[in-house]
Amino acid sequence: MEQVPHIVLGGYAALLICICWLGWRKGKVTEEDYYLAGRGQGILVTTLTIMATFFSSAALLGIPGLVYRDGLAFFPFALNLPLSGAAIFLLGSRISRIGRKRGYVTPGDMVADYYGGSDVMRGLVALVGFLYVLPYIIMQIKAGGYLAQRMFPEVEAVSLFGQSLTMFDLGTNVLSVITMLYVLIGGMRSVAWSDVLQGVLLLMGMLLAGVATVFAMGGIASYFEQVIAMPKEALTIPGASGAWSPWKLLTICLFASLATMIQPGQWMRYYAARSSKTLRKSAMIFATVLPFCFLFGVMLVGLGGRALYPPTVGEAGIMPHPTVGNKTSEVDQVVIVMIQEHLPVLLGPVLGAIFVSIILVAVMAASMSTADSNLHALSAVLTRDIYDRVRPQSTERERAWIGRGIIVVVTLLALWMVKAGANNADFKPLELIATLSFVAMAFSCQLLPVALDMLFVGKSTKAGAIAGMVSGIVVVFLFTPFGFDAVKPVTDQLKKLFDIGFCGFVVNALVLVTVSKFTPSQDAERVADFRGDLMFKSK
Amino acid sequence: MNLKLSIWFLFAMLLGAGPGLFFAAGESRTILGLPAFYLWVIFWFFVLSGIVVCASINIWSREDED
Repeated sequence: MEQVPHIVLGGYAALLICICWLGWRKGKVTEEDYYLAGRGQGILVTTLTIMATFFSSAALLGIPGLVYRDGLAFFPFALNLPLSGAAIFLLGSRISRIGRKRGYVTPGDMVADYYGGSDVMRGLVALVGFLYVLPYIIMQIKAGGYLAQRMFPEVEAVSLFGQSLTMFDLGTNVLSVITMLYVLIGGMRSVAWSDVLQGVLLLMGMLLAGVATVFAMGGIASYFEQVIAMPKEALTIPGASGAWSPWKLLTICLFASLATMIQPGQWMRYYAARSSKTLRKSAMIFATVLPFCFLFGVMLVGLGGRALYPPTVGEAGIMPHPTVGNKTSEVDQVVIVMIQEHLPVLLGPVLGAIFVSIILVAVMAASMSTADSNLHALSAVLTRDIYDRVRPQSTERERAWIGRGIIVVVTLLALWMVKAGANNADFKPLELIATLSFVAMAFSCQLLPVALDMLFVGKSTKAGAIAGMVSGIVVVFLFTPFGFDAVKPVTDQLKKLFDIGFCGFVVNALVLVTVSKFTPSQDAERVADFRGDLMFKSK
Repeated sequence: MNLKLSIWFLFAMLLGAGPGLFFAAGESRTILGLPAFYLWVIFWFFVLSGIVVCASINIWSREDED
């Protein structure tokens, strides 16, 4: 029985190594192949890689954790998914079409081209991508450490090359090294193929955890009897913490979801898709399957956990039940606690241990699928949008090696920050990064006004776009811990009412429109050519 | 049809995840033993997903020959 987690984890790692090898064998030594897998990805790969990139460990830990903390009030969050699905086609098909025609690799390639080869716009798009991507890589590595602790609770430390490592250290090392290796060796092809495996595991884990919880609580009728017996604040808006007003939920559903669908990793997946038909079918599957897995799967785990292990209100905020955790942030552990406590009772020790291990590996898969996609996208963005500008004479081969070097450096940097934060109580960059990860989507949202104008309107000027993006980034920055104290009362109030990205978006869009009215228009012929390449033309 | 579906989608978002929540989620009520709030969200999920499927089959598929 004790060997079950080792076998499941070993099987998963072996499959990843096979995928990496296959990706490497099929790959060609070109930049387009390394970053976009030759632009030939079909429906299955496109759908699952977009899904796996969209959801990190948040899908199986963070979101049920918020349901556990706040009750039903967080359920409407799942309604962002049909909109995100629609965005895959509405934004993705145009991005994909012009990307194929003009050979774009990064979002910066397309935006800079639209604004007449503007390096400032390219740099701003790279900055927004960087602000979105880096915190996500770090958070996924950290999740690997926590999972290792949970999978092997009986092991305190292991000895490796003469060094004693805690399970947390071992988990972060293993997750980082495996992810780094298959991104390094196989590029987009390995990342996307491993996303297929990880996406299937993720969806299966979400549904399985929900179904198991309902049955562990005595079936559907008994489950809902226990749910409706919960206190009123867990069954109404704005939820137990008072965080989820309808306007905040609506703006998150509208803007955070769109922001996530235009982050660099997703944008590059649109370039990599084989055709508009591929993206159309992916959109349809995404909009139906993913919300189903949330509403009938993993969100029910958080709700059931709240009924069985009710949290309490303490001085620090909403404290989880001692079975779930001892700190406010440990509400995230509700899924792990629920499956570890109830699955073996429901299914018996052997089958229970197998299913618990599969769901824990699914959480690890969710973390790895986000880390690999973001690592790969960041490598492309820094190589194409920054290094290539500084050294325009660089060859394709040189850029490919620089891209690989960036993957190693970013992984090691992220790993170092995770370890420094875990080992030194005075070193707290992780706390800042954790806070920043909530505003990461808000930074990505600042690309939205430019993207919408470029894809659908075509009226902005270069000066308007630059001014809008800078204003939006500054506004979001004011909401972070680095913002000025003088504006804190205003930002705190706005944060309670709306999504942060929406606040930045409003300022960004207003500045873009206003400045564009008073600055010289772009060359009409060039814009017309660009829009011609965007549009679908019937043959 | 394109415009109609867009308006329906926005309407469903406003009711399912926006101010429409006051109809179902302001008070803790049950329908057939299930929380009304949960049923409300499930209903709008089917509406929103249905609109995406409908748009995909009837409108977006015109771009398939691309």
